[in-house]
Amino acid sequence: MITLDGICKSFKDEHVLKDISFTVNNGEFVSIVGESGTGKSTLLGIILGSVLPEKGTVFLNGRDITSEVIAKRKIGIVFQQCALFPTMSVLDNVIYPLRKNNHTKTDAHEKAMKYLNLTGLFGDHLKKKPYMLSGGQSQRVAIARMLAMEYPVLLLDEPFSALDPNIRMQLRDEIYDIQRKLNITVLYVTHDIEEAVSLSDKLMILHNKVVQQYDAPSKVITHPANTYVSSYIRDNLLKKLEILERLTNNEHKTD
Amino acid sequence: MSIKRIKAKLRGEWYSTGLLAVCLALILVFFLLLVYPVSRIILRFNINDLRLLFERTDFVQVLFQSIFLSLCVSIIAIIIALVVSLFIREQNHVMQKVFIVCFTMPILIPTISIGMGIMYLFSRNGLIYQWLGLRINIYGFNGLLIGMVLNITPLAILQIYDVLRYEETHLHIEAKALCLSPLSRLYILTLPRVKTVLKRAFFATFLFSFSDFGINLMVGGRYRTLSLTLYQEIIGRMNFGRAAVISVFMWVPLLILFVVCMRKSAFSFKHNEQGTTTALFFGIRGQVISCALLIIIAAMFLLPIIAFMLSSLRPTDITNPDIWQNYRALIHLNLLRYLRNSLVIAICVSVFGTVLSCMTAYVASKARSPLARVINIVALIPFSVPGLVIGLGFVIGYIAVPGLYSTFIPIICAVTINFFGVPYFLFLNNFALMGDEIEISAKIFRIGWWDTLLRIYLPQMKQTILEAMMFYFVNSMITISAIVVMFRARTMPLSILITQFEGQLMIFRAAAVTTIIVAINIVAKVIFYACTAYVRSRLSPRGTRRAI
Repeated sequence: MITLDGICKSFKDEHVLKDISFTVNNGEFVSIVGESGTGKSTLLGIILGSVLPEKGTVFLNGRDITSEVIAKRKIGIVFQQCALFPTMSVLDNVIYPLRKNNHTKTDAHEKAMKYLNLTGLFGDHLKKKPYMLSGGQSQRVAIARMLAMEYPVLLLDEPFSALDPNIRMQLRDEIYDIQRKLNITVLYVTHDIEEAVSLSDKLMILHNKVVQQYDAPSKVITHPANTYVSSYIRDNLLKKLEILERLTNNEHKTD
Repeated sequence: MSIKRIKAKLRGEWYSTGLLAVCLALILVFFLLLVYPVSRIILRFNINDLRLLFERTDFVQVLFQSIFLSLCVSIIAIIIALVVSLFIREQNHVMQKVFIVCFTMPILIPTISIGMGIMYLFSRNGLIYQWLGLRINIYGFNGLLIGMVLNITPLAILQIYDVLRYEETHLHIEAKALCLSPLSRLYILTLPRVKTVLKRAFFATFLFSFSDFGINLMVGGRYRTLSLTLYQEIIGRMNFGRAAVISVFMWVPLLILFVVCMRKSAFSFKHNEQGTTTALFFGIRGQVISCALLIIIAAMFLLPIIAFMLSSLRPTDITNPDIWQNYRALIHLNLLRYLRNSLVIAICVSVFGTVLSCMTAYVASKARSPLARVINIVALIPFSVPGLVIGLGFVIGYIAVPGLYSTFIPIICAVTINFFGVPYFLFLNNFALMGDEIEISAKIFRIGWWDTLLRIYLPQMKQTILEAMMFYFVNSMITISAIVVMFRARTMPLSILITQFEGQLMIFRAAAVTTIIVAINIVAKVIFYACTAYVRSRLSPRGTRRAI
């Protein structure tokens, strides 16, 4: 369980996050949505340990981890840029971190194969260097590499935003299946409310440095907490649905 | 911020005591090799020497002459370099490479040899007079201006061209679609892109012309400059007190200019796009004309060098018709020993310098802590300190250490620090290109800083490592300024032999030494290009590209 209590963060005297408090239960899939510059990635950075909050505390399963270094937190992250080790093959990208964490050669190899297969990478792909992979394949490696560490929490910082829509949808479904299968806690930062609604157990809408609403997607849609949330949902989700409905109706009429 | 948070912040950065140890070791190295020698010079600064300097000599005039000359040289060099770089940029891939090789030649040669080359061409009995009957007075300001522009412009060309070659073609295509003239495109798109590098090139050319004494020694005539005065105080009069005062006067303008030109933004020259070879401004006719102009300019740059090197085949002893006599004489003079010394210095400097610049850049870019910030500031100092000043600092600072000057250690250290700046920024830029994500991933996987550097960063930076090694090697082979005050008979390198032959008026022998140095540098460059091609073939297309 991750709990953030009264988190504040500012960069050069400009507040990015103000008094953020929420709890994510174990095994939950939580999506964080909001416009650009609302502090979504900063929030992930605070949970990960790469950004230090000015105020507030971060708890992981009841343990205060606010002042712990990244390496000790056992939280994984996948970035949009993948951050694969460029000179290592796909397989080595997964094996190398495991070996550095005292796994035997056989054990590391087995684990790497298991998670690479889980993310849909087999055969010749495993020998390829990162530059030989497509965007989607690179993301699969990055996810497999993090999953292989078997950390209980995985943060996803807009990992699919640079991919084309088909691959994006495919990977989105796969990550959902994997999360359910492994029962890990996932915090997913995205711009796409539609994606967030379809994947998440809970949805968090960030705006103006604070959490506007944090609830189940159905509740956020049906009972928006304030005018901002309702207009955000209307502009980004309902309008799409209306257009889709209109197009479908037109098609029916033509038929 | 509470103590707990400060501790957490420090722990976050210094997750390894090993990295802290490296940081402290770097601070110690910079203290010993830079801060201590330079501070000894500053401490040697005394009012009495200052008063004597102002009373007895035309010191103020010399100071202003130096600044004026350096300004003229820098402005002319930058204008020529910009035009040449634009023209080179418009050529096809092969011609671009050919011209860059041509314009790199003067960088492989000691400046004193360039001075001799100009003298050999333009002096009263020079080749120009013999061939064309033209008599040009090259002693004094004119000679200095020609010599320094010839010597320094290539340095600016390389810097400016390296930015221009990555210019985005699509911007020009869009601008063409908007019916913008080539001149407008140059003004709106190209010049803003090179603004930063122009600042950097201006500083580099100013530093070089302000601190060089080789060309002054040969063609300066009565136009005295600060660097030559310093050289004469150290070598001629052995007056270290006055030399210290002059050093401070040399260093201060450079430091001010450095602060003005080289603020942090001036170093943000990262680019990892592929270079393009599409002509942006010229059609085919323009390309042909610019190519012809480039050939003429390249010939002007190469003529003094080639003519001077060919003069090594002219007899010093006119009774002996053997064209190889200068080389034979060098062999009799134990050439191999000087050659060995040069190679020992150059190889040690390339290895030590590359390790030092790489580690410093890594710490400065990746460990964001107060200590790393100190290192980042200290690492900027060598950029503004002339070689002669560093050499003098070493002599004053470590003269009391018994036996030190009979070893290569002080020479290797001084040369390394003297040329530290460029490779340091090369590495710094490369680390910046790699972003923070890899570093964070490595921390998540609990991969230590040493493994991160060794297994993740360095394999991507093989090309940069080679470039840094090459830079140190070539400059160690040709440098005189940092070495001239501290060599001994046992440690004397080839480049110093040139000044000695010049002192004995054996110009053709000096030409022979220059030719040998150039030959070694060309061989080293060929090996470097072969290694780079091999590394590039193994590196990914998205792998880290060279930055300077």
